[in-house]
Amino acid sequence: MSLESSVRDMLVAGSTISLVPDARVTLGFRLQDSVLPAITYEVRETQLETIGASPSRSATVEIRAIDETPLSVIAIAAQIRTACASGTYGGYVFSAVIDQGHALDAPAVGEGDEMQPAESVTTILIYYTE
Amino acid sequence: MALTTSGSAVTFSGVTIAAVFTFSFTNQRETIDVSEIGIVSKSFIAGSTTATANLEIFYDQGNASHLTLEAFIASGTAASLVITSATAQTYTASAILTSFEITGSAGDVIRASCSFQITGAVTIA
Repeated sequence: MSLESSVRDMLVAGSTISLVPDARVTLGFRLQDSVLPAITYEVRETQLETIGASPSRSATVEIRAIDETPLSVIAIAAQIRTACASGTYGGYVFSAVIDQGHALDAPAVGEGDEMQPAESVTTILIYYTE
Repeated sequence: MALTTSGSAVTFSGVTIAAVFTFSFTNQRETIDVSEIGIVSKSFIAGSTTATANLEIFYDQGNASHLTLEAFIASGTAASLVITSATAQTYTASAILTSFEITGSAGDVIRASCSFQITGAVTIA
């Protein structure tokens, strides 16, 4: 297991995020022409937090809700925040999951270009042990 | 050779304290001024030693080691403090827990800062 797969386990646990099928929750990127809505996430950085042989670590994770309209991504982002909860995921113990805020990017379209969908980026801080 | 904290640990009264993220141990020796009148250069002799220790932890009242530690504020009794700075490198002394301060802020985890006054000799081994 890895932290990245554990974060995905957290996002799909219990079908809390009902607006996006589990198969569309992916690490890092989605294909430009893939079906929406979708969620992508990435682990920005990890840090060692405690002393000892089995230390606690922290990770900053960005989770992107992507869909055609701002209202839709706002609704998905609300479900993401609910899904981000402490627990054990894939052998990793998330002792604290802290919502550090979110930002909305409205959709953009230029003449002759493909429409860029709306995105909401939720940033969370996870304290975990492996 | 530089050492990491992967082999570090702190125990108090035989209980290993969980979720420690900072520890420190300060051992000081006082000096006594024995300068004589008419002598420009000051002179000192060694005085007493005094030692203190501090820890910072991610506080969880549900953790038995944190509850045990915090109870020493109420009891005021001295207990054995062992700081293992690295594998097989320890500072051992009798200590009194003199403060236990909990802090919390939005967007962060709950932390606690603990201060100890060492009483008696320190064993460095």
